Amino acid sequence: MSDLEFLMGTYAAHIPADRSYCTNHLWAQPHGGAHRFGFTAYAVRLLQEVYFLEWCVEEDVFLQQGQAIGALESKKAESELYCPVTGHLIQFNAALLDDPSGISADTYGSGWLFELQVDGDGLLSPEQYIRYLESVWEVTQRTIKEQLS
Amino acid sequence: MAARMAIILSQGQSQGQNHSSAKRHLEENIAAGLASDPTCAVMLIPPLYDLPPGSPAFQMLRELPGDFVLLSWLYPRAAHWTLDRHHVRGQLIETPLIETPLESGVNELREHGAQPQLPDADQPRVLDRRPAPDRRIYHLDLRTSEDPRVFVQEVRRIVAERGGALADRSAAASPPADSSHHVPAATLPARRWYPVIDYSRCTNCMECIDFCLFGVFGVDHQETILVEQPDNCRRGCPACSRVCPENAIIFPRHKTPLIAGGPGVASAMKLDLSQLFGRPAEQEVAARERDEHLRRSGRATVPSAPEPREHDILDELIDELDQMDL
Ligand code: SF4
Ligand code: SF4
Repeated sequence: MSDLEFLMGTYAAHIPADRSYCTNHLWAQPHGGAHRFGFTAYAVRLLQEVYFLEWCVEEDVFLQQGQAIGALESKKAESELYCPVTGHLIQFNAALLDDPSGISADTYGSGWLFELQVDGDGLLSPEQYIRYLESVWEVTQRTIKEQLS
Repeated sequence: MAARMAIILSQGQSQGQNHSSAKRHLEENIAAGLASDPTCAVMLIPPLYDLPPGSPAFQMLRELPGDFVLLSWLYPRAAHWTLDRHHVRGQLIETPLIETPLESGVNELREHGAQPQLPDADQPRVLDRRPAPDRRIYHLDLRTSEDPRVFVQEVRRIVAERGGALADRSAAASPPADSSHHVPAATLPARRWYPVIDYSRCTNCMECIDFCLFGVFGVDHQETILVEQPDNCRRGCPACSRVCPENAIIFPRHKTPLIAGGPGVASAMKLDLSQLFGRPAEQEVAARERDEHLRRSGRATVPSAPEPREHDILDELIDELDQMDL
């Protein structure tokens, strides 16, 4: 299966086919008995370069889906971060705490955010994620506009 | 006859009786204070930002041969790039500080605003390959002081400073200092609302053209971004100014100084994307869609009770988006 793309205006967000996705714009990929999570190109496009990242939970704890786990700030935006699926948090990517710019530099690789032990249910396939993006793109633009007016 | 320098006074829009008469008062007093000065040719024009493209005032400004002073109720950047859009081009000169104790806060801001620290200062700007002519346009923001003498003094200082440099041609072409350009308040043009691009910041990245759903932006024959359909712009929607990575898009009439061309840079304008990054995103989407369907079927939505005025603007925007058939 080949990689997918989602068009944001004229920008094509790359959606690799070798992993799963979540509706809060994270990818997930099995890694050493857990899953690694990181931002999708779609998320990074909205955020642009991240220069501040902070976690508000400890490693090695059980997290509920939707639980607030941290916050980040970029040139144009700020956001709280939420746990994408219920599971056991193994660790955060320590390299990012020193330099969060890795998030945008290597979104699908060394820019991963954390490792979470999950059962894999509730994750989206690349096709499902694309369909999800299609369904929310208009509302996303609108949400941004609403904040600005 | 001595060389005279053109002093352009851009009127304020009326904003309620008292406010506008205070503005008018200041304008009249400045004009009166300079009227007898043989080195100044004072001209009153309607509110610059609201002038339609074909306005004779732009024609007159384009024909001004040399340096001039512009006094307006706008931030210098807003006024300057509004002129530029109408091919009245030159070097933006923010005049040195007008020292009045009351305004020291504003002056401090102006000082910082003169050279904003832009994040990617090394990127080429549109202005680099389309340099403005050498002529200087001195901008004075009429909101800086309520005292006409402050402005009269500052104009005199500028004229004296530039006196030697004033070319003869400007004496020949300088317009008469009579009141023929005075426009009575009753004929003020309708208020407009559209973006103005600051080309000293713009990198021609095209984010704005991608983002705007209303076809406001376009490109010229050199593939340079421009505001092509200003009147398509949605009143009160300054969205693209936030999307612009360089904060190059100015809405001169916006209440937030940063968006209106005032001093400062991006930091104060942060989007909160929490909603999109997991804070009950799906419920949000669902609620919105539900509300939209309710609205389409003519029923009232459950109001989330924001400030009534804001709610109106929002509703308007959403309705407009709905009509667009995306
Ligand atoms: S988004 Fe800003 S920098 Fe980019 S083209 Fe538009 S005005 Fe210029
Ligand atoms: S304010 Fe809104 S409608 Fe106007 S140009 Fe910007 S994005 Fe387009």
